[in-house]
Amino acid sequence: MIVIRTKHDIQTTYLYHYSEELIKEAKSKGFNVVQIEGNKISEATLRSRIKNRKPNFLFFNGHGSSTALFDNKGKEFINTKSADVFEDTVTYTIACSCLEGLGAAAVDKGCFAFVGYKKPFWIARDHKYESRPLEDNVAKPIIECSNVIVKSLIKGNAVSESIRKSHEKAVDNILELIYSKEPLAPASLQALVANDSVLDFKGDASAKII
Amino acid sequence: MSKMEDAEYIKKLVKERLHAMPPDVSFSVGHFGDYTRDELIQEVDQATEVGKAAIEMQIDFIRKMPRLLNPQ
Repeated sequence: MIVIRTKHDIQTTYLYHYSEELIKEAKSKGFNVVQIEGNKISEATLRSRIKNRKPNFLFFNGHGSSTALFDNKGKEFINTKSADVFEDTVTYTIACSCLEGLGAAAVDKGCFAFVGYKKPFWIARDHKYESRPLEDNVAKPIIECSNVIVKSLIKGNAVSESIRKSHEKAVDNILELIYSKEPLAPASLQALVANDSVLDFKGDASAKII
Repeated sequence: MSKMEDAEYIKKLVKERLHAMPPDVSFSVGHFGDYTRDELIQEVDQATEVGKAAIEMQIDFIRKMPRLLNPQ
């Protein structure tokens, strides 16, 4: 599998830290994890790694739009014209709004399944934990649910099952947040509901990465 | 109520709901950036792209609330 992670602002830094456990878990399950990060993120690097490693799973953490993914400098590095890069893979992007345009183009060009978000991906957070994202209990229940997709796929579950598991985790967290007495819980709740309702996929529901 | 009054009412509702949150919360909204509670209220007020996204999120949340309380 190839993990592409940007880290150049608060949101991408949060996603970066929360994806560490996913990489560890994938490695512990025997996945050969290739990481493309920081200034190494480019279309050329990605194509080269794909050519050499032939991954069946691509996981992107960072910013996106309806038609593109952005690199560590905030510039487009993959768009609908280069969506053939996703051919013969299951791809998951934790990024804003990628699914409808980029996801559809990817599937048209041979991607088995593209999982992503139809609208902006929200992270609510507590100022106090900006430098310690993993201790931020406002962000945690939100990112936990988006990470379930990766955890489920590396266990061998299909795309549809992985999305179902993410929704189930979201329901658990939503109920916990609704009845929470934490003053910032409503912020987590609203962001989580927003993300959960726009998580979806294009392509083959039964696609798996193992 | 006219459409303009509706839009103003929704804007006011969303601003009030955001204002009810403690000031130490921030929202990261993808490539739009990172906003404190008060900055997000300002974006809603000015009807910017991120302000519109915040309104959509809040309205969607209000619509879904009854189902969230009874997920069965």
